[in-house]
Amino acid sequence: MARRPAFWSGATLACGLALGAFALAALLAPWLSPSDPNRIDVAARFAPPGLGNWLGRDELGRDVFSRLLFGARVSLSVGLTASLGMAFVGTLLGAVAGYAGGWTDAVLMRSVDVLMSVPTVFLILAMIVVVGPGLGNVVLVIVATGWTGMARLVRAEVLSVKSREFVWAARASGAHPWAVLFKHVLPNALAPVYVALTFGVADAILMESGLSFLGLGVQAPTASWGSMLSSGRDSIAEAWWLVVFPGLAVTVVLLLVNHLGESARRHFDPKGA
Amino acid sequence: MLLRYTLRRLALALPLLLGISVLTFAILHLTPGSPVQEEAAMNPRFSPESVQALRTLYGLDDPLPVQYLHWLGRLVRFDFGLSFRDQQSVLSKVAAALPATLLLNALSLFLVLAIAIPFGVHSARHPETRFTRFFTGFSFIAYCFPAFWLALLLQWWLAVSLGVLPVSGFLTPGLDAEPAWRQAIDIFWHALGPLIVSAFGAWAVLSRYVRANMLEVLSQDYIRTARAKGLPERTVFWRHALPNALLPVITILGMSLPGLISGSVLVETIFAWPGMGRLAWEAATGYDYPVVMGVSFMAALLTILGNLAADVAMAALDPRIQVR
Amino acid sequence: MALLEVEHLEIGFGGAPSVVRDVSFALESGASLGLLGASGSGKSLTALAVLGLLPRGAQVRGGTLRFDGRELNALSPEERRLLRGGELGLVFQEPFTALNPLMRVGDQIAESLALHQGLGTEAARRGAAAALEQVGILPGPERAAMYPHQFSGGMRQRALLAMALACKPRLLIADEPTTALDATVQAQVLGLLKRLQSDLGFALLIISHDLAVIHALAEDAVLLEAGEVAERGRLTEMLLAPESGALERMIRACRALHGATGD
Repeated sequence: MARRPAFWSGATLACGLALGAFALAALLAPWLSPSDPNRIDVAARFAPPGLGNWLGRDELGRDVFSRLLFGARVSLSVGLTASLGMAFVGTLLGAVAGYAGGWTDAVLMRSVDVLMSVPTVFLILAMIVVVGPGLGNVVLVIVATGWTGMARLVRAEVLSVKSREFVWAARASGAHPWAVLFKHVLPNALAPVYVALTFGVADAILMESGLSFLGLGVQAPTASWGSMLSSGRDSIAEAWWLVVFPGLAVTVVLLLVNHLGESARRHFDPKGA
Repeated sequence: MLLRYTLRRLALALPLLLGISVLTFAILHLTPGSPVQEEAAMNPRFSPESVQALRTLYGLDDPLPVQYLHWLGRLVRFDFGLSFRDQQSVLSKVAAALPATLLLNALSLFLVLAIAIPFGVHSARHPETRFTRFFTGFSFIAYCFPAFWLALLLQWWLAVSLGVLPVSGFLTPGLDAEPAWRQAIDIFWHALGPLIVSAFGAWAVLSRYVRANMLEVLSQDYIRTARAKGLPERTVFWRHALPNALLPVITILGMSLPGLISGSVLVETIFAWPGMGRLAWEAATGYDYPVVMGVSFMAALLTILGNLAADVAMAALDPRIQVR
Repeated sequence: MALLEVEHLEIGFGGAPSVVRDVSFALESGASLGLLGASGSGKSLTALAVLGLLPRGAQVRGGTLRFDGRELNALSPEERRLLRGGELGLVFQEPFTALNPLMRVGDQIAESLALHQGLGTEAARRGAAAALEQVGILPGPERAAMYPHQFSGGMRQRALLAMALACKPRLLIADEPTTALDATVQAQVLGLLKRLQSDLGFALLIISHDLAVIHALAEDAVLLEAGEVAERGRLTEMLLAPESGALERMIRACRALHGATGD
C-alpha cells in the first residue's frame, strides 16, 4: 500500500507561500500601492519602469504597479468566489443526482450534458450579453456555466460510495435519506472536489482576465489584469511594460495555483488523474 | 452495423439539441435584463427598432410555450433572425465565418497531434533523460500560459518587430485577383500566428495526457506477456503498447473540441481572423443578441457532431465497444 | 545435467538488502517442481530472473542460472529473448489483464508462432487455432478470431496456456496460474495442465502459495520463505514431517481451507 504523498512538501509549500504573499498583497493593496491606481497623470504618460514608477506608467499616466495590486484583488476574489460557487452548486447537484438516481438523476445529468455541449466561452458570452458586464456578473456567469464538471465528478464518487457497507448500515438504521447523504456519503466523496476546487480557481482567474480583456468583464476604470492587457495592447511598441507585467502576473498566479492543483490531485485522488 | 450505431448515436444527440434550444430560449426570456423582457423597452441600450424587431421575432405577445415552439421552428430551419447591427441574416454571417474557424481548428488539431504524440510517447519511454524532464516542466508552463497573452506577445514580436508574419487578418488586401494557390499560401501565412497560439496550449495538455497514458499502458500485464513471448522490444512497442495508448486519445480529442472552438474567440479577436469566435465577440460587445445566439447554437452543433464523430471512431476501432 | 539449474541465486533492488538469497534448485527434463511460498517470498522474482524479465531496478546480484547447460546471464540479450516464448514458456496469474485487449486472441498466439517457428501468416493462424483446441477451446478457428473480452476468465487462462505452449517449450513456468479463478475453473485448468504435460512432455516449474495447487502438479517442491529456501524434497514427505515453521503454517491454512490435507 503506497502512502499518500504528503501535501505540503517542497515545491508545493513554496507555491502555497507565494500565493499567500499574493493574496496578502492584494488584501493590503490600498496600503501597499504607491499611488491611487486610478489617478490620471497625463504628464507622466508612458513613463518607463524606473525609480518613481516601479513598473512604469500607462497611457493615462496611471501607475502600473498600483494597478497590478488592485488587479490582484479582482483576480483573486473572482477566482475564489467563482470556484467556491461552482464547487457548491456542482457538489450539491451532483450528490443529489448520484444518490437519488432515477428521474432526478436523469434530468440533472441531461442538463449537464446540454450545458457541456455548448463551448464554455460562447455560453459565457451569451450570458454576459444578457446580464451585462461587471464583477458580480462575471462571477455569476462563471458559476452558472462551470458547475457541470464538478457535478459529474461528485456524482461518480457518490455512486461508488453509495454501495459501501457503512452506507447500508446507516440506511438500515432508518436514518432519513438527506441525513445519510450529508453525513455519511458526501464526506467520503469529496476527494475530487478539493482537486477540482483548486483547478477551478485557475480556470476562473483565466476566464475573468479573458473576459476583461475582451471588454466584457470588469469595466473601466477598475483595474483588472485582463483590461490592462487590452488597453496596453495598442501601445505595445512604445511601452512594452504595459503588456509584459499584467500578463506575467496572470501567468505566475496560474502557475502557482495549477501546481497546487497537481499536488492536490496526487494527494487526494491519485487514481482519478 | 457501424451505420446503425452512427444513426443511433445521432438519434441520441437530438434530445441534446432540443435541450440547447430550451437553454438559449431560457437565457433570452428568463434572465433579467434580457431584451425580451418588458423592461427592455425602458432600457436605453436598445433602440426602439431593435426592441420591436425582437418582439416580432420572438412573438412576445404569445404565451410562453407558443413562443418556445416558434423559436424551435426557427432553429430547425437555422433561422436565427437578423443581426441587430446591420440587419443581415444571422445565418449568412455565421456561415461566412464558419469556414475560417474550421480551417484554423483543423490545422491546429493536426499540428497538435503531430507534435504532442511523439513528445508524449517519447517522454514515457525514456522517463529519466534530461530532455524528458525539461519537456515535462516546459509543458506545464505552456499549459499555464494564457493564450491571449501569448497571442499579444507573438503578434508583437513576430509581426510588428520582426515583420516575419502578417499582423492580422485573413488575406492580404488586393490579392483577390491572384490564382487560388497564391491565395492559399497567403491565407496560410496569416493562419500561422493564430495557429501557433492555439496549438501551444493544446499541445501541452495533449502531450501530458499521451505521456500519462503511455506510462500506464507500459506497466500493463499484457506488455509483460508480450515480452515473455520473446517479441523484440520494437514489436512490443508498436504492436502492443502504442495502439492501446493512443486509442483513448480519440475520446480526448472529442472532449477537447469545445475547448478548441472556445479558444478561438480570443485568438481570432486578437489576430482579426474572421471566424466564429471573432463574430461572437463583435456581437457580444455590440449586444447583437441574435448573432450571439446563432453562433452559440452553431458552436454547440459542431461540438455535438464532433463528439459523435469521436464516438463512432472509437466504436470502429475498439473491439470492446458493442456495435450491435 | 538437469534442464534448469539454479545455483545460489541472489536478487536485489537498488541499494536495499537482497530479497532473494542463496536460492538453489534443479529441474530435470519432463519433470515437475513446485516453488512454494507465501506472497512476498521471492518466488515470482526467481521465475522472472530465469526469463530475464526482472522489473526495472532489480538485478541479479549473484549465482548462476543454467538452462540446458547454457549460462543464461552470459547470453546476449538477443539470444535470451529468443529463448523466451520458444524453449522457455511462461504463464502468469492475471488472465484478465495479460492479453492485449485490442488484438484477436488467435493473432496473439500466431505472433509467437511466427517469431519462433518462422511460420507464414496462414500457417501461424492455423497453428493458433490448433493450439486453442489443444487446451479445450473449441471451435479453434472461430475462437481465434475473437477478442479477449469475449472470453471468460477460465478461457482466457487456457488461452494464455495455449500461447505459452504453442511453440512447444521444453520448460514451462506457471506463476500462480489459477489464483484469479474460482474453484471449479481452477480444477479444470489444473487438470488440463497435468494432461498437457504428460502429452507434450515439458518440464514444469509450478509456482504457488497454495499447497493444493502444487500437490496436484508436482511431486517435488522447494519452499521459499522471505527469499530463502526453508525446505525442499518430496512433497509428500515434507507434508508428513514438516521441518520449518513456514510449512507448518501453510499446512494448517490449507487444512482450514480445503478440509483434510492433500491426499
